[in-house]
Amino acid sequence: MEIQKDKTQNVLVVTVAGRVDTLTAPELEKDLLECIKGGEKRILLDLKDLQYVSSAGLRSFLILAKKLKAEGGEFFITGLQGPVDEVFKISGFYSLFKIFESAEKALSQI
Amino acid sequence: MPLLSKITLPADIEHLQTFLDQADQWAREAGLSEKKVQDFALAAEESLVNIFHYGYRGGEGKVTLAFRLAPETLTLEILDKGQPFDPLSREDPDINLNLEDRPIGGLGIYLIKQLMDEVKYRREGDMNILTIVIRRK
Repeated sequence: MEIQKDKTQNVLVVTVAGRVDTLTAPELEKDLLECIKGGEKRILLDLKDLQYVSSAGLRSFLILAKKLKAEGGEFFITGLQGPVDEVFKISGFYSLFKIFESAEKALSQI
Repeated sequence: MPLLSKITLPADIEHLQTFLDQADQWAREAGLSEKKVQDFALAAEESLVNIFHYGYRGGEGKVTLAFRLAPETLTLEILDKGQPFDPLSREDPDINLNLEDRPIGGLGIYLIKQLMDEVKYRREGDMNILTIVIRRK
């Protein structure tokens, strides 16, 4: 798993590549909870380069979205494709997050 | 259906990657598509993690993955000697809830049920046996 962070228009754009699974999800969750603690209110998770997500990853996404909501922030997800998109659909995650096709489209609308 | 191969290791997260690499190799040897290889690995991860977390209730124990190939199907059995526990008895999560009401967790077994062609549980002697079947084509 590789995490890349970039601040644009008051949005923290986080690009996650590789795998978010039982072994890697805790690292992503800890990293982004620190960002929220540090005052980030709008986080965009770009998953265009994500190859694999398991329930451990879904769990972390849900924890982060709930935490941001509680802090009055917003959580966006972009770049869903392939097996990651399928897992989102099966799990009913489309109705939990603000989802855009790409980070570029999201940033032009939010 | 001949037993082709199996692997037994302690039920601990430090061995997860070894189990998953083995499952990935079996799936590729069975000629599964890239998508099915990934679904198979996901099912293996979810079932193993379930045992690591709940199977031995913090105590030590082992898990075996066994792999069987038939003309049409690939079968994975996950065996442990933990407390009797049927993971399929758990109610499916309500996937229509909104963010506030949605509970955290409970998706692992649900994903296995949705992505695999067959999932069964049985208790045999002192063993829990979860059987997962995926069609090869």
